[in-house]
Amino acid sequence: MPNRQSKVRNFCIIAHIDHGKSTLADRLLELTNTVALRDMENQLLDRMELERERGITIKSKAVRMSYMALDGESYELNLIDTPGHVDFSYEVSRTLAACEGAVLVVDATQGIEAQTLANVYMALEHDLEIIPVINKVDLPSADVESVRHEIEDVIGLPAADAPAISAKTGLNVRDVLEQVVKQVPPPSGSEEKPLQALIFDSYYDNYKGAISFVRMVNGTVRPGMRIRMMAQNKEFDVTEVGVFRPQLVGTDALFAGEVGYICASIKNVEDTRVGDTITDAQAPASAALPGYQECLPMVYCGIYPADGAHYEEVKLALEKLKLNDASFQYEPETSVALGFGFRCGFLGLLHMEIIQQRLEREFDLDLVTTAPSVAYQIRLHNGTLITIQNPSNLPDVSEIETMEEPVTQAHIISPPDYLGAIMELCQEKRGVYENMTYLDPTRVQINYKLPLNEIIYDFFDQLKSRTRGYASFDYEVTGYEASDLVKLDILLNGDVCDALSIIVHREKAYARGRSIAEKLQEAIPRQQFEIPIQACIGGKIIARETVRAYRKDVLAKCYGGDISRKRKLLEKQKEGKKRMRQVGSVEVPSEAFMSVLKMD
Amino acid sequence: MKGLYVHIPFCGSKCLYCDFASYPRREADMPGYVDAVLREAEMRRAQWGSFAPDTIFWGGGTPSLLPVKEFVRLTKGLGEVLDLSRVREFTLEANPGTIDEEKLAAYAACGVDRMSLGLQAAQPALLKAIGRRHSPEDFARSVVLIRAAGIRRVNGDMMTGLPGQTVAQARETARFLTDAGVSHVSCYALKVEEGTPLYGLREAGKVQVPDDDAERDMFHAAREVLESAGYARYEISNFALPGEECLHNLLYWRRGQYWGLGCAAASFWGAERATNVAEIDEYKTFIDENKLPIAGKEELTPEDAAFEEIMLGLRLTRGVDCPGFALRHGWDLRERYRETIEGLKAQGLILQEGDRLRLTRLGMDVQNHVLLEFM
Repeated sequence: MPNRQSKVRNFCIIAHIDHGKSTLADRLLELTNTVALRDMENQLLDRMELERERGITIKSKAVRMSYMALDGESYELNLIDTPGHVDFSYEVSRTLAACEGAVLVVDATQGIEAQTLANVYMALEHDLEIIPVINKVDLPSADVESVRHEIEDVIGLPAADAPAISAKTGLNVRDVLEQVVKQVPPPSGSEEKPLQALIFDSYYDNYKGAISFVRMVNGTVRPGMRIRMMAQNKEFDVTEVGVFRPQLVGTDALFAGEVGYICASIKNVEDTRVGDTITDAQAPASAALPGYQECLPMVYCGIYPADGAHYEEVKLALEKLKLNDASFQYEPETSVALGFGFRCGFLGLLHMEIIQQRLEREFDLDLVTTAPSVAYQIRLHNGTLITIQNPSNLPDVSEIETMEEPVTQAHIISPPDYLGAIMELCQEKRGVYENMTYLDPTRVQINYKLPLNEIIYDFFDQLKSRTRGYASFDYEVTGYEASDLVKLDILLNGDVCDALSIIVHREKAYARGRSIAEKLQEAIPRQQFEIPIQACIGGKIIARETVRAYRKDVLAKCYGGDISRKRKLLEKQKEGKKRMRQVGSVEVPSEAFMSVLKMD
Repeated sequence: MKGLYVHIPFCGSKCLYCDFASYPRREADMPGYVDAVLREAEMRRAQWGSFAPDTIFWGGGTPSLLPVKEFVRLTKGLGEVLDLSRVREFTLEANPGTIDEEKLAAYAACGVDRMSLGLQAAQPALLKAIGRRHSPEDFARSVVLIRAAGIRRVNGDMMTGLPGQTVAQARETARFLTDAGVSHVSCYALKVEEGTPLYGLREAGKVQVPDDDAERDMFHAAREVLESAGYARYEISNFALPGEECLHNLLYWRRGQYWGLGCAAASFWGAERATNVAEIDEYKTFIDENKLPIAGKEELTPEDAAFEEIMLGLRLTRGVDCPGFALRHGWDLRERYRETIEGLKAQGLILQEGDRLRLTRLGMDVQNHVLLEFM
């Protein structure tokens, strides 16, 4: 093994949200003088405004640090930041594949949570050396010893030597780096073998094109080489290679074992798919690195401009977001109620929420979003199998043989006091109980099989409110199962409003229909005539509310001083009308489409 | 027709629903204010030239709070700056209980021929609930005094949709006004404006204000009483015995030109609409510095002017005169909005009678909805 490689350590940090992963990363950067203290901002690795604000990591990033260890040797430490949330589990998995070790951060006041476990299991699958670290020991409620036991009992990792640190104050943080140097094995692989570089992230730069973040497994890459993306089967000429400090710094070459970036004038981020293997086009490796999978969206919703005139702006914004996020998909669709817009596919709910917020915030767009839906698989009597992402595309019942919906494996960790409430919620959500384990006397893990279509409708909010925020939750989609599903339509003054149609389990249809009708009754302003709001399944009405006709919309007083003001008020009212959508004869405010998503 | 509006911002106490420029307990400022208004009239004349209004309206506040001396000084002073020889109507707003024989004699002597009095409600409990200090009897006595002073034309204001008001009470109030013998009634729906004490009380849940449906029931109950007593509804909120319509207000709705003097007063001159600053001291400061006290103004485009004529004309029962409109604006309302008008007719909101386009009774209740169709 070349000497260079023996001094390299590639590791990541895994943690449940809020357990201090990003703060620890910041301290490591400071301690290794990777970033001058004056350039330090909290959570440096979380570059996106949204990430900072929510304290979460959405996209993974990497940084190279030079560390002079207590043994007197200088090491090159590559820290790869991972998204903590399950929506991005495939990205997490690729990040882990780029490392030999993982620092597991556990909050000394909270202990192990659902995401901690999910991440640990994934790290174990990748044969990573796991270094447990107990964080937030400076807090009065910290209980280091019981967290140590928990790590040993629940995960089965020896934790007697786990550093007890405070990432906030910097206490014992150096111990973490020492453990990384001592315990994480140096990368194997050979500079002599044909090039194999694993793409674990990519992003689009206006000047350099799509940039691949890679872990070099074998071989060497230099500017001027012709490379091939093995899964995409496309070739490019390398223009630049380099490392992260944390800003991109060009180097002459990247060698086996290192972590860095490759630019090759790639126009489309789709061509630098996370998980793909880069090889030398002239002397290709015989096989790609294992584990590439196409990331399929699991959750869909319609995104429309609140004012139909802004369609092009929404389109441009989606194109730009897509440049940096290959897992996000969209295609144009038309709704009778909402006009021209897009059906968008996301990895999960958080991913959806993040994209929606980025559209509104970074692009200053005013949007109407329809209720999230999942992809259903439908077998027709004529034998064809179709997948639908938009409830209004569901074929007529008479053509349908069977319908299947995605189901998930859900893990919930909570204090035992809330066990009853959680089980009740899971039953309401059509969950199938699987098993339950006490992690320690104060916390229990419950596993349920839950339909994804129930999770996307207010499950998080309900879980939070019923457990006062104590429960943590994670899920992964495990497959499709047959289910008794029906399409619930909403009629406004007799006309179906396609943007409000949803697919629900037959047993839930009545309750959902009632609740949607009630919410619409509040959200739709009174108009010239009485508006019946009906929820129906295949022509059968299951709920009805009425918006009464208005009787008054007039300014009683209008004299000399009121005239200009009155005209301005009318202009404002006219503007508001533009944000209304015409459904048959009924004017529906944009807000109404969203109001049906809110929990009771 | 041209009009003159004079704003008198003083009042005895502020009603809970009031969001006008009116300031209680500022008696000491009255002489200075009169000086400032007279000075503004001179400044306006210097800018706009000589002015001979056909109508005069003093509003407030409570103009009747001015001491006789100041009232006389202001009317006489205005008479020196402006040509008042063509005046056909001179209205003064007053509150019941603030006028006596001496004041009324002075008003009549100075040419006031119409008074406007706020009754609002004929129930003492309702009056108290909205912060009015007079009783229904004060109102009736004031009407008698006004008549005795030789001022024949009297308007009474009433309100619908007051906190706790019933349909029967609205009817009773309308009946009280017709019994009192007023010649004109303005019947306004209460609007709870942000920033008023009533708004705060409502938000805090301490006061319940009837909803729109209940308010309309009250309004139409009052309307029926007034109409059957011979008061014709000639505007959305105004009723008059034959020939007793308020000329000054008709001028507003017919887009006549007017000067507004005093704080918060509005003017419409040429193609410009302008509003004076609302606050007394700020107003005086402008005048002291020899500057016109303008808070905001706008130059109307031809489209603005045309829309205003629709907006204001459709307030009137007689509606908009289409050939006249075409002459003034160069295009025919009935042609450009043919489909809109047909749609509104089908909804029962608008009527076309000969050359006139007017709102139905139903249309008057939802005038905003109709106007949006013409934007």
